[in-house]
Amino acid sequence: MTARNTADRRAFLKGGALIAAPVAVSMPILAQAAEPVAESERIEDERAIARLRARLLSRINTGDHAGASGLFLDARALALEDDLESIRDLLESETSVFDFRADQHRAVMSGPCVVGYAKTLPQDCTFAAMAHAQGSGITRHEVHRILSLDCIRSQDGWKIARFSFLD
Amino acid sequence: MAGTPYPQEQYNRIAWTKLSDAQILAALRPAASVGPTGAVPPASIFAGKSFRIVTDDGPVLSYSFASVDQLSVRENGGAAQSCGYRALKLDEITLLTHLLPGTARGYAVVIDNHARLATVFELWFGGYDDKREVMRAIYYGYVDQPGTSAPTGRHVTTNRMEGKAFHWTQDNGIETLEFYPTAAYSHFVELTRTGGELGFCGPSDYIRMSEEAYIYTRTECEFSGIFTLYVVNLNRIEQIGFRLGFDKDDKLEYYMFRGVGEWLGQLAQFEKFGDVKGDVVPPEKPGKGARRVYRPMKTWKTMTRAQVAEAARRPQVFEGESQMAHNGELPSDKLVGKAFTLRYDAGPVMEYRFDASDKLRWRREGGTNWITARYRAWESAPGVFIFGHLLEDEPNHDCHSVVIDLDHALVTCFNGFLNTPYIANEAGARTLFGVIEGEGLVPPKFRRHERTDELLGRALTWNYAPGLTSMHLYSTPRTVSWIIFTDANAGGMEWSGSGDFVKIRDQLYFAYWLEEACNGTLGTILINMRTMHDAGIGYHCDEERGLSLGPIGAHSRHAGKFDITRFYDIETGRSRA
Repeated sequence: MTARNTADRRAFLKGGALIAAPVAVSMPILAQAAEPVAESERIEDERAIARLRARLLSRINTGDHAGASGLFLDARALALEDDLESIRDLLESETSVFDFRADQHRAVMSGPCVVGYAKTLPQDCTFAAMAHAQGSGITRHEVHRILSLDCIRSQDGWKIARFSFLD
Repeated sequence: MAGTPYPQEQYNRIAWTKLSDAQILAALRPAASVGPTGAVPPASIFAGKSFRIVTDDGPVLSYSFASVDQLSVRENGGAAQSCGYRALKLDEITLLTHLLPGTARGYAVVIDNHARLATVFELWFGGYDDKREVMRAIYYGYVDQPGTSAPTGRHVTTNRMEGKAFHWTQDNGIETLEFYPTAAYSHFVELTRTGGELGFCGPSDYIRMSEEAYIYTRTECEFSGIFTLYVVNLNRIEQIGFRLGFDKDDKLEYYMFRGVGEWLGQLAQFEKFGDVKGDVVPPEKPGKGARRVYRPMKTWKTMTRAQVAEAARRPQVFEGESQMAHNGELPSDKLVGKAFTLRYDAGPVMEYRFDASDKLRWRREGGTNWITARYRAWESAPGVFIFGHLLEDEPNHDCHSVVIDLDHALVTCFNGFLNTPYIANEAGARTLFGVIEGEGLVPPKFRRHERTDELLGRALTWNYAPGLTSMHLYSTPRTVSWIIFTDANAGGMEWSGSGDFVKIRDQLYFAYWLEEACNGTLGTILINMRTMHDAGIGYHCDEERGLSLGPIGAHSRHAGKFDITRFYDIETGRSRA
């Protein structure tokens, strides 16, 4: 297992590796600091995975599940809960975590998000039927969760191998 | 002998005639010529005047008034059409209405003379399958004044009328109770026309002219199709309005009225503070006059007696989860091991043995064979239980929803049954009062639970499950109306049926509602107004699920109480209760 970036990732990206490196002082990243080319590649990998995650959420949120599946190594790996309607990223406000395997070809990105659920009321009673008749009949709620993406570097760039919530 | 004109059939039972275009046009022709009638001679408001109404997305109407009851109008600069009209004035507000000759169309125009704002209602017959139903399209605009710029404000839809109710007395003697518990529908009780036994609901418009003046409309969809519009001044509690449509005898009603009202109270609203939006149930698709209308008989599949009998062969009794009881309490097992007899006055005598928390045996007194039935019981207050089961040997597939008070040895049963005279899979209900006999119980000889008017006028919300919340409004001694909230917690669609209300103890009531001509369910609930929780049993039969008995349980909030008991006193010209 390799680098872990648990702190202010934006500052890291803005300020550069050397400035941000102290936050991970106990981690092997120190060794990487001595290899600026490798660190630069790792930052690029993180950015690529972050973009992959952003694309995934965008496609899920617009209902483009086929498009979302296309981001996976195996298109069948996208299994969403039935009533999941949206996933809103909270990466801007909180921390994300990258775990890279030693070979740098596998990584896990996990980070906070808000998952929106929408449940359609079954029309098995008059009140529910009337709710649907007036254009309601769907209950929505949001839950803060940690989204984890297992990613693999492929010939076409980073792909998602597994999609899960850690909580 | 003249008396209270109780109808032979209530509105939801009348077989309303499917009027043809020709029948409608023939009836409208004379009305277009002379205008609406009224209890008082037409007022000289517009005689000799001319003006032009400009609307934002609708017609431009150019009016010239030849007299107190004749005008000519040009629509969008077209040819002038002469017709009869009437107008009424309430402070700064004027309402005029007329039909267009040779058509099934007409207009109502509400003018705020001070603000120079106008709201136009285009009215027409024939826009729906049932041609007698009056359609309306609403256009907001102003009175054009040459040389003066157009006012920028407009009348707007609003929820500011929500929760109010009035007793109206029109100048023609018609009295009604009218409730506005939603921002999309309203509920009305015809005291004069039908004796006020049941209240009914119709889609409504609520338009704010000022903080004290509003325009209200109601279309009696699914019934006569009659359209009522009035302007109400909340401070003066006065109205000016008109009514257009065909009554149960297919006679055209087109008259203007002035009315005075009594304030009956105010219910709580449940939208976020600051939310005064109207149009809370927007149409599914845009279009002229588009609106959402609850039409239960369009979606409910009725069944034959044979189909009902088949469905009853495999009943579903307290099986699976029910969203109507997501917020219900757990069933009680406290009846297990008990044995007693429920002796109903002028009803059956039922012997019970409670073998398990979900299994009982029953038989009629004198019977030899015990019948096993699945049941559930809930203890709503100490010693007071509601339980229910099907009576599988009954030809009408009866159910008993029973409240027993073991402290007083009293019982009340809502005896549901199918195969009503109207629809086979629609429930009917009888209310049975009686006593409990059993070990350690000494029943009273004369005392019984009794019907009560303590719920009359109340509105209680019921949150059954996330996203499933209704509000009951008990508008007559035998009416339950139910309101469905929108996602923004505004009152949305509303419907109603007959009901009954029995007092079990102080703040503890046993009530039912019947979804008559509307899904056919019998809902029975034991309302505890101390815990603000109910426990109940729903009885239903449809093609999909068959005959079923399921739990009901919801959290309640008290939304308010209207002061209406006095309107249901037994009173005649010769005596008073």
